[in-house]
Amino acid sequence: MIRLLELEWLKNKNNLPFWILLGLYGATMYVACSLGTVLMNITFEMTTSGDIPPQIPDFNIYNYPDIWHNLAYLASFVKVFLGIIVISAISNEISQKTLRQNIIDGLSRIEFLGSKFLTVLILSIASTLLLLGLTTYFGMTYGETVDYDTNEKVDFILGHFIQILTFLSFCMFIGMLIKSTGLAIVFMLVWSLFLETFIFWIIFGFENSVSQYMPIHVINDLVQIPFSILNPDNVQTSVSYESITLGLAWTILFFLLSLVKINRGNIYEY
Amino acid sequence: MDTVLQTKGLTKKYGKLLAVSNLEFSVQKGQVFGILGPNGSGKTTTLGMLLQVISPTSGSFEWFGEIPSAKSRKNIGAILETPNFYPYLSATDNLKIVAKIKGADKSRINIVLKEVGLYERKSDKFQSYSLGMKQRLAIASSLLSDPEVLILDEPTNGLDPEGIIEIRNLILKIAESGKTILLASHLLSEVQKVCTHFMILKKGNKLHQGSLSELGQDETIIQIAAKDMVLLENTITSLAGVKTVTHTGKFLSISVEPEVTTEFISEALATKGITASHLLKTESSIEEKFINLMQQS
Repeated sequence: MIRLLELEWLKNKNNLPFWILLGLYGATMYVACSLGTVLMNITFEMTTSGDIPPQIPDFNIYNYPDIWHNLAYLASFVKVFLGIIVISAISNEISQKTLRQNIIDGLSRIEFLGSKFLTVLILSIASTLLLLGLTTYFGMTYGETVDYDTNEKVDFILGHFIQILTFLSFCMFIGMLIKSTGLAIVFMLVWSLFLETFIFWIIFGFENSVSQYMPIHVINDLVQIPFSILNPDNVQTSVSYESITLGLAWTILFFLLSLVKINRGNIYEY
Repeated sequence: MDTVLQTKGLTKKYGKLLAVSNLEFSVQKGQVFGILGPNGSGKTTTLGMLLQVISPTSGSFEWFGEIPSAKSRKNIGAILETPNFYPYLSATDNLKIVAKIKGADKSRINIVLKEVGLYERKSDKFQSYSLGMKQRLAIASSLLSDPEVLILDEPTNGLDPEGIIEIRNLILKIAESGKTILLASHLLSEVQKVCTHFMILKKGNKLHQGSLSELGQDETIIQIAAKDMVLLENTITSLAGVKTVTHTGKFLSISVEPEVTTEFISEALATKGITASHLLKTESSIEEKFINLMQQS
């Protein structure tokens, strides 16, 4: 396993696009998490100018324990950068025929896939640590209630980890399935944004019990929107075991499907 | 002699197309084995199956007397078709990846880069290399783990004459070191200059297998031409000592017993009133053998 990690490191350490995308991800994570300060500035200006309408609630998203949920939710919007990293890490190896050369040189097919899954795992861990760091920073700087004793809602950090892991496993499978990097990225975006929901609406109808088990639905269910004006009592309070189990199940399934794909095909024709 | 490679009924079908048909051959340790055939004859498909990137429809093969695996591939240095490397990485970084996969020592990197004459450019990115340099890097990569077997697929394809000579000398140098080499090529002269043994493929079928030293001993080829080619052919065919007659360009190529001389031929023609406008005795080369075989089948 260390050998496969070293292999991925050798492939990526001088790969500029990889580091640029990673930097962009870090930057957009910061921007996404800092969106709450914009809201705070608006309410602050309204307060000082004296025309704050009483119905606008206190909009500090950095108060413990809600901050765990709020920032995990904001972070879920920028995971697409990590998806692009994973897709191009795989489909570039296919289009540049380095996958073929790796196999010829003596890497087994499962080792190749394993090395890519390790990348997925490392990126998921890195993203979770980044979120943890950002939550601590924004919580310390802007949070009005600093209540470290309660562990309430810390499980959203785990929810974020499972969310990224499942999403990147999905991207890994797309990378294996679609040869062209550009097409794979477009497919990933289209499928995530509406295609999955749309297809299951058409096949099973608007109210169906199938689509909730589909990958993007499962990924989105892990960390749901942290507020609701219409139905405040229905807001998610913790990450359910069911969501975690479904996320891990899809992760394993995407790995197995990728394995079937790489074992079945002639690597030569990839 | 140790058998390095043995195939049994190796077959690959692409739909209805039979790319490689029931191929049986063996390669012994120390041979420089040429796989000769025109484009589309199944050379690369055969090598792809031997390197396990193409799955055979039927048949099997053994490397070093064992069922092939990732482990056996580590003992083979190979390039298939084009040199495939990470374009954004330097030669050294690319070879580090190969060394990691093969479990080769990193100290070998500079040794092989010096061997192929790329040491001075080792820090430059692969994408900045000329085709010849890419090809040399591929050979360096295949030598990295000091493997028993090298597989080279069209190693001089697309190179200028200088590059071709460079690569050819490199292969000869490697062959002298006692390594077993499998070389696929559509160039007859290349196989002739480099190989000790060869096999001819056409449309996936093996037409011939033998050693280069066997060739040229049993046959002498005489090229002949005259004004009336039809009369010439009729006369020649009936002569004693003439084995086969084939058309090559404007000439007839006749394969004869070693005792048959050009004097004998011209005397025989003179009695029929034919004057030869071209008469040339050549040593049998793989080229004539190749052309003969292609026309017979």
